[in-house]
Amino acid sequence: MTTSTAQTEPGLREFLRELAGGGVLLTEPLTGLRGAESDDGDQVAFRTLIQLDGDICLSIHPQALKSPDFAAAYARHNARVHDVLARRKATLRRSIRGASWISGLLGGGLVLASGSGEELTQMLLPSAYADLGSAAVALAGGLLTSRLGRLLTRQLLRA
Amino acid sequence: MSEPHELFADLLNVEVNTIVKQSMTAEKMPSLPFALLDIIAEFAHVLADAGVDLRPYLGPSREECWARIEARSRREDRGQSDDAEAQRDHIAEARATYRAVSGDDAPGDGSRSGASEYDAALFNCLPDLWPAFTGLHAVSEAPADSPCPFAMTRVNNGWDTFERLRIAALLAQPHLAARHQILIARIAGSCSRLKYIIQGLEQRCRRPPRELRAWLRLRTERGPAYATLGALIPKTRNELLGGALRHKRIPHLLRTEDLATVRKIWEVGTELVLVQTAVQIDGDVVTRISETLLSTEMAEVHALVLKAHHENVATGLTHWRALVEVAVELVTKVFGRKAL
Repeated sequence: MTTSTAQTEPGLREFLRELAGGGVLLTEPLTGLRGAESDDGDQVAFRTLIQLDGDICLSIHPQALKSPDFAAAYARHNARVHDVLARRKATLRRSIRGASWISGLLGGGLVLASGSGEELTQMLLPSAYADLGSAAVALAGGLLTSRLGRLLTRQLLRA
Repeated sequence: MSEPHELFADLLNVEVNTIVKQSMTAEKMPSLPFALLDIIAEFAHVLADAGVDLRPYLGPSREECWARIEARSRREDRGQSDDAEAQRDHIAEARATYRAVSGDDAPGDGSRSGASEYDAALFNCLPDLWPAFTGLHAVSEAPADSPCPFAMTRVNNGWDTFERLRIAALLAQPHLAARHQILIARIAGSCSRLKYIIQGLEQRCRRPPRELRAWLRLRTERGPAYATLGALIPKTRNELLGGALRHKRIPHLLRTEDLATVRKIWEVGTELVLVQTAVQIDGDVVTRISETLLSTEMAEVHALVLKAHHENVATGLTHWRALVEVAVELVTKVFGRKAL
């Protein structure tokens, strides 16, 4: 969970950590609003919590409701919420594409490796068993690609 | 940390709440042990302000509660009642749960002829604590007319504290005025969910560690050691602050969906929800508006609150749609499965 103020795009780790850690929290200080007075300078006018399952909780300070600036301040806060969500969505989608590319490259590498493996089996094994050996290498390569791709993605998301 | 599938759990509905909250800061939710104590303090103060005397509920130790439940379990006339609830043997249920959770037989010979044998792990497997506060040990259910004193000094963040508050709230509910009913129902519901989550956490300590995962973690962890669950729950605030915990890291104890539940309960607390909209994936939309918002006191601001809530719902739906799209993309591109 984080109080978001930064304008830079978060990394996937940070994004998932803040969402998985309870949600993204955005706040707007109360001090900027006319007529909203508070002895405590830490008070906030709006507090929006966005959770990973899409749930949203908006808390409004009663002093903010009395301010003539309420509508403008809320519009500003809401625009920030949209902006932050759009940035995080872009980060997530980019990371997913990245993960799929890595999986693809990993798969390609394994296909090449399995090609070499096939040649090796043909050199080492008698011809009667070479086809069987090639099939086994291809099967093992496919299985390994699938496992490694999933493991990589899981580690990336879990990090 | 969570499994990938948990990251997109509960996308079947979206809930948007708008509340007006006094004295609000940008404070983040603290780590789980402290967040639980915050929630307990807020619930307990609301109950105490409504006139509920919490001392008889929070006073008895775990050992005393166990002894009360065991004494009731030994009574021979327990099974003669027509009431199915009265016939329940909580100790037997705890033993069965212990066996299911840990794979071992519960401690004690189970003959019930000897002295009371309290075991913390077995206590964590109790289905509930009702027998400790009803029947022979019944406490006064009727709340007082004025607020009752309450102090958090000895209150810990274990599952049984939520259970005690739940029982106190449910027993007092029929005697309380209408203005308290919504909050009392919310406290009882939240305590029930938190009890379930924390009890599950305490029970999971009994499971043998998965060796491969433990080995992988040993290879990757750096820096200060993590605090154990036993050092964090059940503990009072003073115990948490006074120990050697400041030199340890607090681990991620909960699954994502459980943490989201705790986060939501901590965030909303006992504040009045003015407007709530729930949208389900099948298209059902339910909006609840508090009577308070329609009262003359809020006549000047209710249009502002409704407009803010309306915009918030739009934001929520946009976010929800984006999450569903991302989940579909994740399934199709990375895991290579066709989305429905």
